[in-house]
Amino acid sequence: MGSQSDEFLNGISEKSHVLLLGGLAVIAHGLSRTTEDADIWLDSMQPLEDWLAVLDEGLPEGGYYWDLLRKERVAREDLEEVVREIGVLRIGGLDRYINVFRKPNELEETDFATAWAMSVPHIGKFRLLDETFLIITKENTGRERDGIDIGFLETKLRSRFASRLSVCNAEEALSLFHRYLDHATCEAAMENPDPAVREMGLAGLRELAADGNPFAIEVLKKRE
Amino acid sequence: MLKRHTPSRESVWAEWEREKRAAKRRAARGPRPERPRTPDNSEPWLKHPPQSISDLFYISDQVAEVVKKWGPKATNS
Repeated sequence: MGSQSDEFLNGISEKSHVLLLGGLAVIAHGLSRTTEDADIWLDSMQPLEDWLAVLDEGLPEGGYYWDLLRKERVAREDLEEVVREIGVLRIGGLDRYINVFRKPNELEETDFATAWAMSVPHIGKFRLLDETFLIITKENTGRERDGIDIGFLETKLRSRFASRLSVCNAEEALSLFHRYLDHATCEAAMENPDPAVREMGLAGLRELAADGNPFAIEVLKKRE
Repeated sequence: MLKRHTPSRESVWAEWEREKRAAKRRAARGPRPERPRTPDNSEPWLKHPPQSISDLFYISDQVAEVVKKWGPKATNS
């Protein structure tokens, strides 16, 4: 028997795609930190009416909807307006608060399809947002904790992407560089046996150096 | 199309300065004798990978407990 939150999330995951984000996602990616509530992104490619119907079906007895902006309960007939305005609803009345996002910070509703495609099958019946998307949701919040999360996720990405970029083909390298760029990933690409990947690494270093990145400037100087 | 992520200038410069300071320290103290490295002795919070929201909250609660027990305490001064 799982907790109320697990049962709720597993229930709605059977009806619709669900991605884990926020602090719990960062913990799932490996950082030991605390969090008070669960943040999820319920498939926002579906119309708002269907999106709310999924929540209605899964809401257990005693559960209720909460407006995070006005800090008050929301009546069923006002849900659409609240979601359109702030892009998130809190589910209360379970063992933990669950914040259900339709539009996470810095992302659009239509980004869900790409986020789902790049997500990691991980926890129970739902998936985990990958590091690149998780970083985006934590940008420009001004919260110190989000800055720490971004640092951790960047370190993880650097290690994962660098190990691929030293050996992968040009197609994969292009897709990785479309998602993330730093001096270490560029240097890893420069070790790749494929000259096309090495060229991408060099182009990345030049781009970073032009922006004043001291590591990239140093690497390019050494190459001269 | 999502924009590509690049670490912020602030974090890149902080990393640069950290590395330069560490290099200076290493240069100042000179070469050290080879010593065996201490193996990673950290224990995972769970015996299995997290499989549910409850598992993830368990980790969060354990971290909170450790911080409460060992973290800095508020003082009146």
